[in-house]
Amino acid sequence: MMQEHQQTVVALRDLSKSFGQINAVDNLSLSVCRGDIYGFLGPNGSGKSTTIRMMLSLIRPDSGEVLLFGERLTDHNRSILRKVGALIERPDFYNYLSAYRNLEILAGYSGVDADKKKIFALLEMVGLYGREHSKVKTFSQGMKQRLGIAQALLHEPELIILDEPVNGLDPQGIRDMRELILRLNREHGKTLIISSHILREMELVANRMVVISKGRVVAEGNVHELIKDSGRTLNLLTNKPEESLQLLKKHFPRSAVYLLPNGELEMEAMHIDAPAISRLIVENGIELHSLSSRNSLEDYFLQVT
Amino acid sequence: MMHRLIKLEFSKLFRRGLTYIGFGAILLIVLIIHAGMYAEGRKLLDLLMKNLSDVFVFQGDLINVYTVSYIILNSLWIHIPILVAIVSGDMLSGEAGRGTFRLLLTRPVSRLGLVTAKYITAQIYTAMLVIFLMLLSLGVGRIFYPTGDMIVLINTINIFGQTDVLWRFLAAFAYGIISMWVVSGLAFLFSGLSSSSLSSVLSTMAVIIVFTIISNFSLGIFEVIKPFLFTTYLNGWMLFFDDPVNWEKVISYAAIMIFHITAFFIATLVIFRKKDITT
Repeated sequence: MMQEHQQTVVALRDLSKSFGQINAVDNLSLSVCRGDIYGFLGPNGSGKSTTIRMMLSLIRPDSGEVLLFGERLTDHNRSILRKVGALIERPDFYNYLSAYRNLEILAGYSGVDADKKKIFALLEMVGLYGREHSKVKTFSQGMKQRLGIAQALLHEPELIILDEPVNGLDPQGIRDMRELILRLNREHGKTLIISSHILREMELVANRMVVISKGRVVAEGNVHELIKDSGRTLNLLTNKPEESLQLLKKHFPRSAVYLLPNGELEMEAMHIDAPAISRLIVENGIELHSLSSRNSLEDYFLQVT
Repeated sequence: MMHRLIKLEFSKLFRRGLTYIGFGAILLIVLIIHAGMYAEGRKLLDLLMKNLSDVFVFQGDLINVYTVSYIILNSLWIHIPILVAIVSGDMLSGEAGRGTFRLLLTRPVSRLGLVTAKYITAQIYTAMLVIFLMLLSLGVGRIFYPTGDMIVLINTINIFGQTDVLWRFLAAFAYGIISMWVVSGLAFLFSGLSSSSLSSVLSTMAVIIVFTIISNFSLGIFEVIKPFLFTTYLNGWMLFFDDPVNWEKVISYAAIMIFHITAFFIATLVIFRKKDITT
């Protein structure tokens, strides 16, 4: 599905927002293309939620502009939001109403007539079938999160914005959410923007992402390229750590190699194959007990934020 | 679209227990007054009318539905603003406090549309409360009491024949709706400023209490301020129990009230359109 059409669905241009002395978002620009699962990554307080709220006109930017589907979002031009479904931060509902009634009312605000069949189908999709007439106040956080996804899908939007969608979910719920996100993208052609600080989830679902810190973009691009650029670390355990250290330093002078207190060797090995290293060790008569490679967004994320 | 939004607001409003507090409280108070007047009213009225009955001839029973309704009217205008503020003060702050603005304002609903629909809903609810009070006072009262002449003591003694009373009550209640719309409008304004319903209700009541105290003082500086305070006009329903009714005063009072109702709405709209939804 990825980038079949390069049409820009969301474009943020030089967006800035301050709350008093705090610069929540600072000159932030990005664009999301149709068909993307766009990861929005950043530590807590980095400006993710403020940016998403500005995207949906919940917060007014001090400067810059938000374009959705090529049009500027204003109070007089909110019809664009018919194409957008969103779940922002906590899934808060009318707790005194049932799940069904909440969805029925929210469909009304979206200007669509959601019939019983459609609401039931949505509740089944998010795993809440059978609880449709339970009041939301009886729901767990995870169930509310699922209901939050259902309300975002009520009016069949083209763009879905999910702010921390796996918050409060158990491992099975996280897995279900991941599958749902991928299904919405692959089978229904939805564009998704997902903000999270759980990096592993981003690696598993997003095809493009932006990393923000202190309201500024610190990296943006294809997830696989970002991982590639983020570098790789090899950890080796041999029977002769000192000898192995000298050997590696001699053969790979441009890579940093360290001997860790536990006797393990750690080597920055961005462009070196693990098989080449294992061959070198073994051919020099050293026993290689283990060789592991780490290469994740988490390292990159910690590095850039 | 506006019709749909108002329908949705009502759908939410009447599925909440909070909405019925006002109706319940009015029912309770009116029933207590009815019961009290039924049991002890005659003694009380005999005491008050001891001298008058020697001079005037009254038609019908003086403990009648009109007299009791008038007593209810006088006592309840103190409580109704609180009941109105409980719901109107929650219209915007309730959504902010619950975090449901995020659900509403990420949909194709303009802030202008949403605030207007909520304001209309709050004002319809307010009118319903006053109409409920009227039905209980006059309608239910008619079950317990007969009709008859009514005596009103405002500065002077006015005695209204039983055929001359009902329209005055209807007009007084109609004016009462306008008065309570002002209270509701103020609560709505505070509701737009806060994400706590309690703060909105307390702020509304604080303003009403302070303004009412000033409105009732007859000191020099307060006399200057009085015309600018909406509380000065809240009791304008009493004008309908003057004889003859000073229509010029009624119209000017009502106009001032309508000005406040509009001003509170516009102020809320201006504030809310600029408001960042951070809850």
